[in-house]
Amino acid sequence: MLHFILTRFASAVFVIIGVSILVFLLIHLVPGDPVEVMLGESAQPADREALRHALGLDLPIHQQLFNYFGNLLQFDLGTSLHSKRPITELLAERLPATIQLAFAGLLVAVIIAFPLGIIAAIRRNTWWDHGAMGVALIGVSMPNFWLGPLLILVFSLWLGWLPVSGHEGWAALILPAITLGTAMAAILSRMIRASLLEVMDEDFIRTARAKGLKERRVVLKHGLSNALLPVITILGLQLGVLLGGAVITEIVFSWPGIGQLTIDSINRRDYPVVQACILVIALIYVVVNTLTDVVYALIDPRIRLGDS
Amino acid sequence: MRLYIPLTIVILWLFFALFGSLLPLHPNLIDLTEILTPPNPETWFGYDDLGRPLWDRLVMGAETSFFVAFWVILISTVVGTLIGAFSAYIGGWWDHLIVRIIDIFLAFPGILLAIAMAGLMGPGIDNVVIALCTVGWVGYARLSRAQVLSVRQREHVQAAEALGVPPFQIVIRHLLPLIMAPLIVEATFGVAAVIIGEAGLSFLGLGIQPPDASWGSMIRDGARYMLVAPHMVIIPGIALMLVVLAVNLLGDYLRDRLDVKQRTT
Repeated sequence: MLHFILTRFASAVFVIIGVSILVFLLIHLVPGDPVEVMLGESAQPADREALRHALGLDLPIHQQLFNYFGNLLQFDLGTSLHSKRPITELLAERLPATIQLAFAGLLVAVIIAFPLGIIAAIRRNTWWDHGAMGVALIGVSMPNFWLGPLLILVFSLWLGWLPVSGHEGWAALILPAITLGTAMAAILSRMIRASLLEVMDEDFIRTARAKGLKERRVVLKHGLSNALLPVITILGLQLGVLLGGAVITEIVFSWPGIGQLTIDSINRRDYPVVQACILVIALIYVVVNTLTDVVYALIDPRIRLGDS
Repeated sequence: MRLYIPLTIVILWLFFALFGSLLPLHPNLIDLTEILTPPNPETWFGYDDLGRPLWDRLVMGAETSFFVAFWVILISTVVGTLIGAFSAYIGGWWDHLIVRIIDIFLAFPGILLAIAMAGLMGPGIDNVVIALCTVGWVGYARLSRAQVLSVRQREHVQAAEALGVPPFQIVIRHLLPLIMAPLIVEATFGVAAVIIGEAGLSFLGLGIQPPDASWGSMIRDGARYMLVAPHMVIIPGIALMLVVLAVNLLGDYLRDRLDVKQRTT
């Protein structure tokens, strides 16, 4: 077990180093001279040299990389060109809103996906099944940057029930959470259906039925609790997709999270902030996935034994 | 039924994407008297905020989405498959390295890396293709690697090795044909993902630039006029969703037909 956890953490550290290097290299994608792009053509040469020096872009690349990692280890992500504030401070301000949105999206996904998936599985090949899976397919095919405006149109502008945007109170969280959670609900419900169908063919389900247990108890207790294991892994992976999807959802609803900061910073050509945002989201994703794997292995011995 | 409706939608999409420029359409023609005109019996799709016909712009959006989907799928399947297949066949430290690189790319959730790349490279459709390829090849590399690992010990491969066939030929002629089915299914779902990806980047203003149209940029423009002209958001969204839904249905159909195991994601 310890061996499994250690290898898993070692590979996570490797991935984190790789991700950091990739993010470091992003600045070199800027066409031409990044300093000129960031400051605009009218900038004074002295200002340019000052920024070039501040970003370390005047050093040889291995020296830049070395300094970059040195700063990362001290949680120093540099300074925003736009607000002149430390980037870690900006991120700390924005991160709670994104995490709040991601968890709300996750909650919506779970609330929608479980009934859909279970109904589809126990009423297999009936209209219930086709209906539930049809809804799921539409859910996957509906991009969040369209679903969001549609929800605003119906529930905010036409019905006037919920706020158009903003971040005050629970009501403001509902539409963004639905927008973000729908695609995941669709994927999750298909997973739950498939997993439950597989489990329901097992011998212990027949035994449970033969014992005379009520069907509800057979499905929920014996079936679902065993079908949940693969679903948990997907939840971990999907949390990353939620974090990625949050960028667009935040734009639709003017939600003051990291996604909004990323896009605002792209538009302001505040590239150090863009890099930091991407890095932080990727790091959260890696950490969540690693923890999911470890927890999963703790719950299910087949995983860690099969892996070693 | 299950096949014909999605197939019809995809064929219509391809038709307008390929031949749209030959039709008598004026996606950039501004008619100031028609600003924000909603759909009506004469023009079924109405006009946008500059008085441009929405139908003509939808067709232009079809061209954009097809252009991006075609190049991204072509480049990322070829590059990803070759990298994954050779990595699995050659094995050793090379394979280890490739697996690590794949892991690193997979650490960026969704199209986040594409957003960052498109943002830093600057807007434009070419950069959208580059950004989506950078994100896209990984899936095919991972899939083809896993598939090759599962078939590389087959007897005909050993026979070819014994005959001294060079590795390149073994991969291309003896391994790739065996793993085509799952790759085709993955690529079909990939088309849907790329269409959404392109529209998403254009929605964020990182993709196509005015006056050219993308379904994503049309939704973005429409969102500003939602109260007075909801058709500007609804219509391009429906077009986008229908094509994505149709492609996903085709993917489901192909998966069942080619007997490929359920995707895990």
